[in-house]
Amino acid sequence: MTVSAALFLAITKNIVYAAFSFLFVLLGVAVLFVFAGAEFVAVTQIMMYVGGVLVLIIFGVMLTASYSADKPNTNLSVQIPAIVLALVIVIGLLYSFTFIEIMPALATDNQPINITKTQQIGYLLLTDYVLPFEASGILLMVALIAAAMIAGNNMIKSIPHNLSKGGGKTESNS
Amino acid sequence: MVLSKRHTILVLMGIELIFNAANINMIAFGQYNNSMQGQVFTLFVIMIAACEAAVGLAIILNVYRYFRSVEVGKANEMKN
Repeated sequence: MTVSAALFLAITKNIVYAAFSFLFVLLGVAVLFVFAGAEFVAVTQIMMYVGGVLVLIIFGVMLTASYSADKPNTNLSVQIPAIVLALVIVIGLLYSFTFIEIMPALATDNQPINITKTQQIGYLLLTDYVLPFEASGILLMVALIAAAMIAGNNMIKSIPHNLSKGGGKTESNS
Repeated sequence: MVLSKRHTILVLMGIELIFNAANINMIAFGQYNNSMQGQVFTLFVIMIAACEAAVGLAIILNVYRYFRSVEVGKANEMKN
């Protein structure tokens, strides 16, 4: 279900459909996290992606909906690197799936997956990873202030009048 | 999807999908190695992705307000 939603997200033309299929992709990834025994990460995924990032994306879609159909990029200088990158990724994945034995013991042992405790994550975050934890808090605050400053109305007004007058606004309308 | 789309928000969604793929990989390998480091790193990656989405959407809104377009190739000048 997750893969089909991701494929639909990749090939759809309508950006609103893409946003809704993105919701299904995120919920499917959360379900995969639960199956892998990481229920705290799954809850965090639902809270931050579905509650935060998806709402932001839908607001962005609504605020910038000048046209809904997304034509594929026919510029050749963009398409050739895209095709080359996709081929390199596909060949690398196939090579690693077929030739490299990453998990030799995974198919044999049938022990049940250990359910990790949320308490262990809390201890790890406050003992071993306390410096990245604090740095992530500071980064979240900086990103919040930066997003509010960038998206605020003051930035357009602060552009000088002679610069914004003959600028790209009239040219890009054509 | 990141390179082949014209709509900037779709490009941002593609970046979020790549983050999710990396998260699934880290959870799976951490589960295989019986360590908690994969989950802790996944938490940090989710946090970074949230920051990136917020700042990226703010930039997209500003670009749309200035250029009246969200296509990737249209915003090709910085001032004038």
